[in-house]
Amino acid sequence: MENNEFKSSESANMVCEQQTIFCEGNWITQTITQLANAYREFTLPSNTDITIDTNHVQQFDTAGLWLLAKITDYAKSLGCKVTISGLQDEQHEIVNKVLQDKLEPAPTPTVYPFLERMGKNALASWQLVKAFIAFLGEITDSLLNWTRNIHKIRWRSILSNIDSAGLQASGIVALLSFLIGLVLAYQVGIQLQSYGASIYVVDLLGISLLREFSPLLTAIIVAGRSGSAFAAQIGTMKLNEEVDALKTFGISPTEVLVLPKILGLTVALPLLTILAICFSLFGGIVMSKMMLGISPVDFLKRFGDVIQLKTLLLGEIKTPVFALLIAAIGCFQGFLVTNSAASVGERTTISVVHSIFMIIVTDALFSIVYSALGI
Amino acid sequence: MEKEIVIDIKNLVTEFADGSCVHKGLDLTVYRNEILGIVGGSGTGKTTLIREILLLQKANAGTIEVFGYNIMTAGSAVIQALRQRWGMMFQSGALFSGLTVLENVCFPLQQYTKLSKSNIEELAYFKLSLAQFPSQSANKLPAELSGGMIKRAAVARALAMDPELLFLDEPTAGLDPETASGLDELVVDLKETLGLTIVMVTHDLDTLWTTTDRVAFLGEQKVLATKPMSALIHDKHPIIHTYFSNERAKRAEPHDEVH
Repeated sequence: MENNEFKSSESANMVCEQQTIFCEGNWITQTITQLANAYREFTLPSNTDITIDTNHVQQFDTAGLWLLAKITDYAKSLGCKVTISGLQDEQHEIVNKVLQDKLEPAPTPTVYPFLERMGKNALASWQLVKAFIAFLGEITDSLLNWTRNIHKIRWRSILSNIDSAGLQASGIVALLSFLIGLVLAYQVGIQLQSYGASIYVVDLLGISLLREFSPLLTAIIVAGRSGSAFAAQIGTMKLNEEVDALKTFGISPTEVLVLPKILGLTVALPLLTILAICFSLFGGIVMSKMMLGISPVDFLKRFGDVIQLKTLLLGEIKTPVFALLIAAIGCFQGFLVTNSAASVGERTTISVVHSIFMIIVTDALFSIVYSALGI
Repeated sequence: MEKEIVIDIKNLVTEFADGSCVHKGLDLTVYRNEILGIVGGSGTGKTTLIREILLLQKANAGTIEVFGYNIMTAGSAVIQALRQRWGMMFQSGALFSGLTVLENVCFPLQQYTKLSKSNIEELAYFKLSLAQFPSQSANKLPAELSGGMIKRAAVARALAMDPELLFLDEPTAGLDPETASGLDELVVDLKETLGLTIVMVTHDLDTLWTTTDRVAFLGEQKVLATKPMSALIHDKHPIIHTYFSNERAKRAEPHDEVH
């Protein structure tokens, strides 16, 4: 046996001559494929004594011995009495082990019919909705607990969340907002220019950016950036049993992990939205100057005349609600992670999809309420 | 008869990024068909050493030869071929959490062989039974298994490609005594029936006594001694002496037993 060489590629093979099966070649994992698929097609004598001769086999490993056992089993099923020659004692032992192992195959999971699956999924979704409501209740409870015991509030943790979800997101939010202001002014400008009503670009930009676009886009950027991070962080902690460790200490994971994130984001998102408004207006001013010839001074003067403080407040008031949704959904999905790395990825994705969905739905609800109130 | 060398490490130097030195001129030789234990205090670079042999981590200087190939300089084709000749059982199992136990064992076979699906599954069941893993649990996910079952499943997966060289990192850590001694028997069994060469990191003195042929003691950034257990405990080196002279070590030493 040349152990120092890489396993050669000569395949396992066998030849039947009367009552003897001669085995040859390498009987190892890489070289048994053909024989393993084809040994049942060999014509073996039936109902007699046969010998399997392994003296010419260059190399055996457990896969090869497993195949030898399968062939033995096959010959036995044809009514033969089989003796194997040329094996070492340990190799014989392995062959016997394969032959003796009457494996109970593991039960396969049951596959339910379509309707039953649909019902089960619907029920599971309903359970999730109930669990989310319970989760919101838990958050409220912990929050009330904090207001009763001010010293319990984790300021450091809240500040660190404001930093990571707010301050560190400011660059990307500013850049994207600037570009959106630029593009919006361009598209609106083209239309207005043809009516000779260029100056109205200020009204249009002001109202749409302050009331709708900036709060909505900032929330969506933050959902993708921070909501997913919350889900992944809590999910990994859950996998690592860190969440259970907190519980054993009698410390509520909601208080330690969830509340600082929710409060941090509730502070950070309105501020980020203001930043987004500033930069998108800046983009609008640049484009108005370049395309429509409106000087920045004229732009700001008109802006002061036509845009009321109310417009800003109507937009800003939505952002804490968005923040709550993003953080709560992110954390909730994180806690739903169960025992596999794949489930962290899955829950992170769901957290982003759900929060963006909820942000848009909530935004629509706000619009309905505003119009009902006539503001 | 000259014993065949499987792993030959010479003058190995490892430094971490922070400048601390783990190995400085470490030499170690592993022979075919032996069980070599690696012991030493915490932070003496036992796991690091194994990770370097497995090419999961790079050493700073020195040579590591496995099956006669210098893995520090070998090309990717040689390394790829070597990787099919060794298996590793990680300390916490490192089973793929998204796959069932059976799929975990099938995985390398699917990657490297062209065997049919049913053949692969049968072979995987056989590897599981070699590792004494109960076949009824083969469709469970790793998270549903007990510690002992995870270790057995990890051994079965390490055996999937029929390696000649098997690395075990703390095989008995965190197991109850009965399961642990079952695993010890399994290790000796594998060596004897499959002719494996086994390198294991362990703190378990019972395991060291019952399974190993030789034990390498790591300390002062090198291998202080490589001897059979019975000789190692009488070594006069102060670090080795302290390590084995505490009460736990004395209790584990077999008394009045004929070996």
